[in-house]
Amino acid sequence: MDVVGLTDDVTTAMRLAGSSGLPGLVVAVGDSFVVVPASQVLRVALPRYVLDDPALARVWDEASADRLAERLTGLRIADLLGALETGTDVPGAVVDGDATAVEVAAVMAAAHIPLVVVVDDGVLVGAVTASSLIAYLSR
Amino acid sequence: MSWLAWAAVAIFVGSYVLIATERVHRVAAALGGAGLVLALRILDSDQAFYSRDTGIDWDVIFLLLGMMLVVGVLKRTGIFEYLAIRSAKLARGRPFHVLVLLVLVTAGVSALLDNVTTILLVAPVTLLVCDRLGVAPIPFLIAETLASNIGGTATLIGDPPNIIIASRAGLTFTDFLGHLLPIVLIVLAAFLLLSRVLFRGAMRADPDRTASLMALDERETITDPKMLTRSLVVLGLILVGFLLQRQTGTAPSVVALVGAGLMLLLSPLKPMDLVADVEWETLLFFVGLFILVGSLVRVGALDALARQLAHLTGSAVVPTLLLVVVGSAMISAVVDNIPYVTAMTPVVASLIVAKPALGHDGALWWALAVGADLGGNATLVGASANVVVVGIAARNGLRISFAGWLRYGLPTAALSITICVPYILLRYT
Repeated sequence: MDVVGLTDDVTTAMRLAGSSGLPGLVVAVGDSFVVVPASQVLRVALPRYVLDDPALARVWDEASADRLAERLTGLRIADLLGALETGTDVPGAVVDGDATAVEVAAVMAAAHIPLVVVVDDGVLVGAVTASSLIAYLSR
Repeated sequence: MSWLAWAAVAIFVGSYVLIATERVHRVAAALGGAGLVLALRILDSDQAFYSRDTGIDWDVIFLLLGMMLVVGVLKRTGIFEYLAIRSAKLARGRPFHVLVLLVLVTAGVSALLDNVTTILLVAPVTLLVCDRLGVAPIPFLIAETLASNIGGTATLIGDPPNIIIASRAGLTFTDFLGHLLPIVLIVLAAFLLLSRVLFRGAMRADPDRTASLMALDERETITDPKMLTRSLVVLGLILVGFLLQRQTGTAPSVVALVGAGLMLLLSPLKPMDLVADVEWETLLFFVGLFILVGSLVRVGALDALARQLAHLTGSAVVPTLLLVVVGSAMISAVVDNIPYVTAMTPVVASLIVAKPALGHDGALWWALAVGADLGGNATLVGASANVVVVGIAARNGLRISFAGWLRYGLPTAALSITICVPYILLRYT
């Protein structure tokens, strides 16, 4: 699993997350981790006025839509967290190694994130995605 | 004055200062003050809740509530976004023409909806249009907000101060159209001429970007044509109800509530979603203000103020009209015009009782309306819509400073009042 830092480039980080099959970014902030769902990265790609009035998204033509990705060019992870108003002091979506499936599900549901990070004795051991958790629960 | 009268004045002034300085939330300030008034028994529950002179004006509260519910449905139809994009395309992307058409759309919409809602609807689509044209959006946003404050002056429902004035003075929707619409059209035309000068530096666009604007498909904003048609029919019926108020004797608050009920019944939207859209804090703010002002009426403080004003002007018609227009404009430029007008309506009523010529054809009421409504354009804090557009701009990475607003707002307010003064004097004296 790839963990990105505050100075990393957002588009590169998204490519890494895509190749790992993760539905979001895991950001190391000091000793903790913050999860940024991919859908929230899209929020930054969209102009704020479209978020304020979703009806405007429908009038968008495809040629202009192609240029939206340019808004992420040169953006660092720290800028992304700032744009999302996610403070870097926010506790990460972290569970420890002996967390139960229900505990993981509760963290995901409460934080509206599709991914939680598993840390044991201060060491990152992996991540659980919502789809893998659902598959496990419905086995 | 008795200690109770002094207490009422102190509570009102204290609440007003807290509202004006935003030291505490305006609802907390108004309701806190109202609570003190009731706790000290300056007003009892009958006087606060059931008296027409000293109590909550339920006509105002329910007219606002009804229109908020109606707007909740209308704004989801996409009609306002359609009108704005269509206008920009009609102007073929020429920046000043786009600005003129957006200003006219905003002023027209603002005559039917409150100014804050109008700006919340028009500002995002303006940012989109400016983005496509590659022009600076701030002049457009400011021009539209100034236009919304001007357009809202024209009708009974366009600006909350007008709703208060109409209820307290017994004026109808058609009275507003007959007395304020003509001067608002003149002020709007003058504002467009002034805009040519004020915003001349911001009207340069890249002609190659026009194609990007023309590529927007405004028809996509209308998601449910059936809901749009039904909503427009109900809105039309509400307007007819307002226009026939004198003939039917039905108060605007009742018309708005019946219209809101029809909208809720005919709309496929969930009623609870629409109820959640109601600006409850605005309604509670009004409740608190009415009790605060009721306490001043009860202790005779506003009668005393009216006598002082009459003494100042010698009760002569021309100086009193001038004082109310210019004084209201200056006060509304720096503080919220809603508490100001709520407090001034009993004063104006007292002045008219003492000197009936001041009430000829509603003269002093119109002086109060134009002063309070149009004065708010002068500064960034003068009207709620101004504050809202600054917030929208900030969220989109644009900064509108106090001085930046003053550059456009002050000349607009000064021009508006300069036009209104001779209108009021020529028409009513």
